[in-house]
Amino acid sequence: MSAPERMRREAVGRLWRRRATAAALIAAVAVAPLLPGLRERAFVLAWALCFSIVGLSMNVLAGYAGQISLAHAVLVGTGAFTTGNLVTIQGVPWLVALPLGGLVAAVIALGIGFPALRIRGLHLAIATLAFQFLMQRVVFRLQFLTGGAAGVDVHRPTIFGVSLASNEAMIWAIMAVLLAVWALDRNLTRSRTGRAFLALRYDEQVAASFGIPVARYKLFAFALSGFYAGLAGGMFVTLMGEASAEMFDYMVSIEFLVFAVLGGLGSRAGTAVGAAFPIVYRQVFSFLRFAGSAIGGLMLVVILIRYQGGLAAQGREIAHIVRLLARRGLRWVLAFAGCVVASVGAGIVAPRALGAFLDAVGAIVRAVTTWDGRLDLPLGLAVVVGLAATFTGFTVSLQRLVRAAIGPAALHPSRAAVETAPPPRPQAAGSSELLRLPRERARHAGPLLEIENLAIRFGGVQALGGVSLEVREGELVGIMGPNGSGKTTLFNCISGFVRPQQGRILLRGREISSAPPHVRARLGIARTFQQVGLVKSETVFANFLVAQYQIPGYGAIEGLVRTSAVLAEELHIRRRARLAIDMLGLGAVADAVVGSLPHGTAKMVEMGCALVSGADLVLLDEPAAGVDPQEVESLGGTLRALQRDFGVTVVMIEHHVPLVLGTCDHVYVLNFGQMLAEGDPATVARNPEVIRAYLGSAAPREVERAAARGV
Amino acid sequence: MEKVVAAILAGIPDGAVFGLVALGIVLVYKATRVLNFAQAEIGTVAIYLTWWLQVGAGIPTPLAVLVALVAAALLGAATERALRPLADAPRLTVTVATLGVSAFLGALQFVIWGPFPRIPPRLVSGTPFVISRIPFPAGRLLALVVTAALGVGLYLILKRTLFGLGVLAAAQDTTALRLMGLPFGLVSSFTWAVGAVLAALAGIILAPTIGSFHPFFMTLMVIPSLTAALIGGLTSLPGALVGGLVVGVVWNLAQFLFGAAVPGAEFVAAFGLVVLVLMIRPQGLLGSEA
Repeated sequence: MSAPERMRREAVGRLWRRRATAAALIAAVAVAPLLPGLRERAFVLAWALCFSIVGLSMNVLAGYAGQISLAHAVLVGTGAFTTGNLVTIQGVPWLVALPLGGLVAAVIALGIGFPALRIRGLHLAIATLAFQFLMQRVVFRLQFLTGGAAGVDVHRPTIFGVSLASNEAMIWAIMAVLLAVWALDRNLTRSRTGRAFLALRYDEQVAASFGIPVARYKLFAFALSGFYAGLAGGMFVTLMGEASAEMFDYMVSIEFLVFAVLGGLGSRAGTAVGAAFPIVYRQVFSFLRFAGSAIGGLMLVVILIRYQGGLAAQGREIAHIVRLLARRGLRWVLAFAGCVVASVGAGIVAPRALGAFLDAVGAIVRAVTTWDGRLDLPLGLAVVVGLAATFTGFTVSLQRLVRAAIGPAALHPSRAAVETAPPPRPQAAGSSELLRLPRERARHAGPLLEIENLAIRFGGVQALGGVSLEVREGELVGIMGPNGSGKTTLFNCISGFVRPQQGRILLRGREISSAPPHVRARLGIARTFQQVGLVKSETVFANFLVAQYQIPGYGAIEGLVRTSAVLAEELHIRRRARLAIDMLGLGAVADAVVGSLPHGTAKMVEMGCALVSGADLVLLDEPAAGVDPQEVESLGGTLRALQRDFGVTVVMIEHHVPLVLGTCDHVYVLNFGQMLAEGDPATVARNPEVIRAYLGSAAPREVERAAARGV
Repeated sequence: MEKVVAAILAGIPDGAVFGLVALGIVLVYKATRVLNFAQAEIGTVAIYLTWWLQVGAGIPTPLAVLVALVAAALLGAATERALRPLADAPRLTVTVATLGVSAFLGALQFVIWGPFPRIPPRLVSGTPFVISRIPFPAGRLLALVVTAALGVGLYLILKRTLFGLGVLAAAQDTTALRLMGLPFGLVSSFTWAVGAVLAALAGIILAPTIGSFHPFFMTLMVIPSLTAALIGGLTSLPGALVGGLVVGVVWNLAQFLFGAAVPGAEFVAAFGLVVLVLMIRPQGLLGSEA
């Protein structure tokens, strides 16, 4: 069997195993309420599943888009009151009222999200908390909206001939909604919307440089999150049979965020489990009374200290350990663990045995935690500390045990691979039509980019003082100049991150001086940054997809539903990404996280991202910085070849004089914000002003030779 | 009208208490960029300790308060030490972890001392001062005096000592701090300890003026103090005190004017003020660009 064939088979095997696991999980939850031991707990299970939907809603907003909301209780409440009122007072069919509740919550969420356009982080959290208080304390108490103090009542409906009167039926209904939201969310993460969220959470400027309209996506994240929360609210009011303002207190909002963080922001399974966690925990450990809350608080802290990524990270590690153990033939360990799980499961199914056990523990705890606070204090403390320590010990020692048994290297295999990967060797041979996009943008007779008399002043420093330049289609233009001569400021003006105080910038004859960065990116300007403007927390491949934000034409809703058009366009950009990665010689690091790469390699990734973004004008800020001195020699040829293959126009800032003079068609030299010289490389190299200001008193031989070669 | 003036004046000592807690919030935020929710419940633990030592063990009140404050400082530093593995984690994660500590401490108060309200020891006695027919109990005035004294004291420590300057520098650049030879760990432990002591002091002063206290008592202070810190600018120590006074007055006024019609009107008012300030001046009244 050939290697690719084996890899393909393994991938298919993994896929089916994953599908089988998912099916088994769904079946287990669906059957659970029918088991004798869980029948009386069906209500709690339904409640927990309801909150899992809220967990997913929190994940969209805080996990993907990086926006914090402390008003989610109010969003759930909006869904609950809307669905409740529509069903009970207006007589709207339940199946229609539920999505309407989601939509109204989405609109409210837009209102909550509006401050996010101006403020972020902690300030945003407080602004949303303000909204929470306003809604819950004032709006939710309005008689005509929410029935005032009495609240809204809802009778459980019958849908498709199935009555939801029983808690088991409610579980199935809530599961259906949860699975639907889950599926939408899965589609989202695989669409360009998901990638836009990723980029804007990481760095809004980087996102804008790829053409992502940051403000619009922030609001979309709020609306989508609100829609999910509203659906959860509709299910919640149906389950509870009533809703009142008290149910949606600010503490509930804080808990939603806390347990989403505990579950692990960014992970669907993590946030869904995290949100359900307190409901189940409080039910199961209610007999511990306040000691249970104390242990719960401590557990939260311990898990977060040990796993910054929350339960999701813990789950991943356990899964990884299980795989390692299985591979090393330690199947008996797994068998033992299986027995433990099975016996706990049996305990749940056979409630008497479990009940007796819990009662015994409860009796002990009750005996030692009397409330007059004199004699039994040490014992009560001992129980709390003991239980907490057991749990802590388990959490902390798990990995250590395994590490001692099988060695540390096995736990982090991916990191080693990056460090030993060779530096990228671009092989820009053989162009591909896939990479050259059909140029829909109107051909323009004049220059592609014109800059007229650009001037900008930062405080007392004249960064640019009346700079003009021209770039023609298909050219490779170099900009040289000492540090602080205004080169990067010029780039910032062209890509729109800085507004010049004077002068005009024209792209294909059209003035773009006042367009925001993401619009300029869409008009066809891509750029790289000196400090690598990528989503460094993601893999190289993922960055090549983020960079192609503008290429697919589908909208956010289509992406959620994942229509066939979406599939085709996603396939297209994946092919382009793979091809570009191969061409740039980045195949070995395609699955490595960008932040873990050496600077030179990361620069190459960034350049590749700019090239595949679909732009026709690519601005490169010091492409040779961090590249091996031996590699720089060949960089010129590579740039030329890449430019031809991708069919783009390139402007580059570069300090490496031989590279600029040897490669570029046209060179501009900046000094103290003024254009010192311009022309073809040979002319510039001989210009006495340039030699004096930039190259030193006499041009080194090397430069002369490079200039001669360039002509 | 006279009642309105009374409500405004009554808000000032409350505001001093909010300001004390806000001062702790700001100090910790400046040094470590974390909102420390644990310090409120450390404050409640300190009230319980004072009560326990004074009522249960018969120790004189000043000594009991002193022991409680030391205990609060140790708890604050211990919290910081426990959460230090999260030094490089997202700030939201650390903040959530402090909420966990707060839940733990609050529930522990239930376990140890039970859910019943307790009567805190009085710190000062004497007849209320009367200013134009509005009575000011001595306990409430104490809040003002202590806050003023602490404000000046903290200012001197932070601005006039090398260690204090280190604390302020920690907010700017931890690497520079290490290069200066100040241990970052010690500086952040110090700020968390001071934050806890401030919350403890606020609680010990506040509880007798209310007349009783219970588990999670100081959590009720978190919202007004946090809004005070934000209005002041979150990185400004004088701003925290000014913010405290502003919120104290608005809080009492809202309670007096709308409290009957809208339960929790004071929360809405305080948050309305915060949003207003954030929209007009995102860095707060006295904060610098951050």
